[in-house]
Amino acid sequence: MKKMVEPGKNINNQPPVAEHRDLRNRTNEELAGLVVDLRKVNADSYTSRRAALNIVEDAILSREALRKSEENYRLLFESIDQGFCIIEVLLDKKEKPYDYRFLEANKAFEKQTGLVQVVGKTMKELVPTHEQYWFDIYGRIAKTGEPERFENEAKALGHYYEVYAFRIGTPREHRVAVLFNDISERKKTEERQAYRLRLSDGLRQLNDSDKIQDMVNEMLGKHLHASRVLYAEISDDGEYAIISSNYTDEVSSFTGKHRLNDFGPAFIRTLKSGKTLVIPDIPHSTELTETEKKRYADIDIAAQLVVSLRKNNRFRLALGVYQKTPRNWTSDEIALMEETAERSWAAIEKAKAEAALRKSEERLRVTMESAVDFAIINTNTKGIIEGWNTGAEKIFGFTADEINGKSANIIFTPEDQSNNIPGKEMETARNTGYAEDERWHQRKDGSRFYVSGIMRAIYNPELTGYVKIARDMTQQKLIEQQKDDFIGIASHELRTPVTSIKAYAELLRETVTETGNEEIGQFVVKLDEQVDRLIGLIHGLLDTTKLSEGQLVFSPEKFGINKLINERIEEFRHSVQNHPLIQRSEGDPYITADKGRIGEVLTNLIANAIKYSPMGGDIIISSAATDEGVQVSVQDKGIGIPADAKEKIFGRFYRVRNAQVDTYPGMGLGLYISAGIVTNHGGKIWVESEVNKGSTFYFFLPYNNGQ
Amino acid sequence: MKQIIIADDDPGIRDIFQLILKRAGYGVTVYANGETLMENEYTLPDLFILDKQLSGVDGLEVCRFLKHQEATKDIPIIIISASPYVKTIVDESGADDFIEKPFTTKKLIELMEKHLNRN
Repeated sequence: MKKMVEPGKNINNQPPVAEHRDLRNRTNEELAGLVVDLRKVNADSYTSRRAALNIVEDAILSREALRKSEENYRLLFESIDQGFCIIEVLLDKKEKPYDYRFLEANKAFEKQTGLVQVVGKTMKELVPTHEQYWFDIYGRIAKTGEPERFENEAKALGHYYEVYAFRIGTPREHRVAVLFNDISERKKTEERQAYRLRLSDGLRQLNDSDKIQDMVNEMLGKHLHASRVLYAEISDDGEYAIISSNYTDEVSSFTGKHRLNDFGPAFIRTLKSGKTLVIPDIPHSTELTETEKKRYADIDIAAQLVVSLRKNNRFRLALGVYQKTPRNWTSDEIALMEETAERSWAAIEKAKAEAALRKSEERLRVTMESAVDFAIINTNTKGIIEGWNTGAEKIFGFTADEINGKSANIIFTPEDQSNNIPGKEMETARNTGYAEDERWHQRKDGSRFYVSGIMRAIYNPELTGYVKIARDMTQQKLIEQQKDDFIGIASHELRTPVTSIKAYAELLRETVTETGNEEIGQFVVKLDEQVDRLIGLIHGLLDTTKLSEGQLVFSPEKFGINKLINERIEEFRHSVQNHPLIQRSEGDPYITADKGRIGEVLTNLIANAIKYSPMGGDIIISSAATDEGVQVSVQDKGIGIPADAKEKIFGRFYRVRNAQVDTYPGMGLGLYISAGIVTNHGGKIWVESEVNKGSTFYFFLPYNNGQ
Repeated sequence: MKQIIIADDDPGIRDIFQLILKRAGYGVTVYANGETLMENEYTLPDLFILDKQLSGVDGLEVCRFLKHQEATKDIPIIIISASPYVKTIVDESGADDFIEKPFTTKKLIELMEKHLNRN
């Protein structure tokens, strides 16, 4: 002690550090004793004594302050929510950190880590599998003295921590203070978010239902740390689960076809009702029989979470997560599973629909390409070509590459283009859904050929474009043309000799009448009648060819329809016995039309009515004026027309064949020509008929539409 | 007696026309082609009957020619044709009328009378 405060020695300056250190290690009682001792030191060395005394008193005071601050610190240490500990990092011979020892730990430490009474123990003693990276980080801090802030997972503890660590004490001590917080909840939320994002990305990128299932299985398996995840398709009869792939972690694969009933009726009932099946502990479940439990045990399942997916009110698919050990499924996990199932199911359905669409598109494409005799042309709403099959290439001579993107006008003749036939065709298709026509078209090399085409408008539901299917009919057209030419020439050439025959017949009739031989007179009348019939046939043939070429010419005039009907009826009077011809009329309408041709129509319909009612009966010829024109009908009580023949009878060379009645004479041109005359006047012709009851033919003519 | 000139390349038609028109009280001259009517000299008739389709120069051509000659422009011309669809072009040729084969004698004579009695 004296040594410390030697008289005469200037101790106004700071005392030696060693002495301070000594003081620091003394107890309070020792220090108090020291103060008494110092007071006994003589007056000469008052200044020294005083100084020494001050030092000791300061020491006491600072000790007190320290104690107070330490108390505050301790209070803080114990009361904060954050975990706090002081550790000593343990280094091996190579200075590599391999563990750490707890020197101090606050109360929150226990709460945050679940570890108790850690002071004095090392981390590896407490948690042998604690990650090496923890040791690395603390080792680094202890060595460099640089504080670090970081987030890390401590898997064995089942937590994520946010950590702030800094070195305390001297570098040699390797002490680190660790202030930390459990952020597992936040991390879980973040992970769930990340999972959702990955799922979205994955589902967006995949368009194959199998790949989607694989991806979902794996993603879910890893996220939930599950033993097995699988998608099960339920067979149509609802008896089997078909599993094509599954994610597994340390358990065997469970792909294949499995009988649902083996896993317990309760299980199936839940899923069939559309509910999520949650079983945390299969070995202790009361709802399963021992056999069923064994079935689960055989495939390493102790816990399961299965979401049922229904389509059209039927259980079609299940997404299941399984654990080989019992597991308490959290509500978060269940919600996530249900969300995953719902979203992936939608994606799978979409992928399947797309696959079906691709398949049907492919089928359609192959069909289109196979139809080499048909040009199949797709255009957009403006008539720009967007699809051009092999048939179109062959028929029109343009390759798809040449013509796609160009206007479909290019395949029409210049005349049709300037008359806007392409536009009119689209308009008809747009308005009625359908346009059909036959016309000459043009190939790439400018040569022309006859095309029969159908155009349809495509609505989806708005108009999206048109499809035209066309066929080269040139050959048929030429044959038709030749036939018409032949008929035309034949009928034309027949006229000249018939004119002579007719004149001679008339001459003969006159001569016979003058000489008075009655029998010969009868023969000549018959001859003349047959010549007239022959003339009628020749007329018919020529009209037919003119009609098919659209060259039938009309000379319109204004006339009263009733008078014309009356005239035509009168022509029949002398030759008809069993068929009373009755004329009925409402009003006395006049129309402008080719009187001779309309007369032909009437004669033809009346003649038919007589011809096809061999048993006789009234023939009623009616006319009625309407707002737009005149409607005329010719009704008989004859053999009638079968329903399937009603349209055909207006065709060329069609004749009714009837089993009970002999074939009716004639060429089958009368109605064809009549229909041609009526429609060329802007009118229409139709029939109502019942077999064995009779037929009524109608035609309507507008008041003023003669050509 | 009214004089009629008929041009038709069909001998059968020429024969019967001659027969029936003579019986009806007309003077008839027949020609087998149209060139004669355009190139040769002949006594002008009261009416021409021309077949539309004559071999060589066609009946309509002959009609146009006659209608442009001072001597013949006022003589009625009737065109006969085996086709009923030529009325328009017949009208354009300047012909006075048209009759379609086959026709009755009665109808032909009615038509001829109509034009002969015109003036």
